Amino acid sequence: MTDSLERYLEELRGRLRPLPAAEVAEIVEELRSHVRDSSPSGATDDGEVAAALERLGSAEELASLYVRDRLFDGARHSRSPFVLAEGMFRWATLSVAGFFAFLGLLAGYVVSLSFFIAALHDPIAPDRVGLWRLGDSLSLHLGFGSPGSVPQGEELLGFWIIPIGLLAGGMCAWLTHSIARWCVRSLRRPPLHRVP
Amino acid sequence: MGDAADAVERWEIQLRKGCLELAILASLWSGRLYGLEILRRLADGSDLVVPEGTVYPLLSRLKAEGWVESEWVEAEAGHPRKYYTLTAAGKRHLLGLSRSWARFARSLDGLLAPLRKEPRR
Repeated sequence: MTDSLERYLEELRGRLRPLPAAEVAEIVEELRSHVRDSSPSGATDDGEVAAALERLGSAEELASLYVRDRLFDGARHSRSPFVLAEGMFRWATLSVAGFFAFLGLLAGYVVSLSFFIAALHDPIAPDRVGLWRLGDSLSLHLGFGSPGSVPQGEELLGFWIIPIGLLAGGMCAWLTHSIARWCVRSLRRPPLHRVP
Repeated sequence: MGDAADAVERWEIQLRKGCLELAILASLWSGRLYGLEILRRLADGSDLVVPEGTVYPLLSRLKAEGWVESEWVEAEAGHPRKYYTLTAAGKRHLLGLSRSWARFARSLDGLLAPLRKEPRR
């Protein structure tokens, strides 16, 4: 077993981190077995090992074929926002684009959640939730503080904040979910089938 | 001229990568194989030149889809090898792909038939 093979497998192991540990171990063993079988000396000759590794491609490229393809396996078969968020989170740990996509996903869910909370909070504390006109501007105020912090101004929605809040929250969540699923779909296919 | 040859080559690459999944599943039809055997089968039985690094991640996806399953077998070579076998669902999927391929090839052949009668320039 040569050092170059061990270095290659070590780098691969590091880059496969987003996958479950048992799967990473299996991938590494499979590729070790591949290199041993592809070199007549059984991976004891440096030149043969180098040639076999060259044919496999860089550890970085190989790992990205595994990771990006498997990242959204769960998300592809499931419509659950949690599974989707988990896939997006793993993508976020891998690339800058993934990081911003994950932030976008979180922001979208937070906005829809606050619409829902506003709608559902209204029956409990009608005087603290509403859409107030403050001077010339519109301000959506969610009151979780003391009753004294309610803005002074004209409340526009009244009871209507319940259906409007639920509808806006639902639409916002649906939009976020759809955009995230579109990201997942468009990311999935190409890298695996990339042929140099 | 160089451009035209390049364009043909690019088209061939696209075609091959579209067929890689079918080719790998087909190579497993007659029994279990390990990764390197699949690569050799593809190289011998077809002129599908497959970059070695693409086969293993693809096998991992085929396994995740439930079309193949794998087992480690201790080999005479002194180290274990990971063998792949088609599952029942994988066989059904492969039959479906193969029918669809035959249909596609037939209809394209029909479309291309007049070209073969043209004298070569």
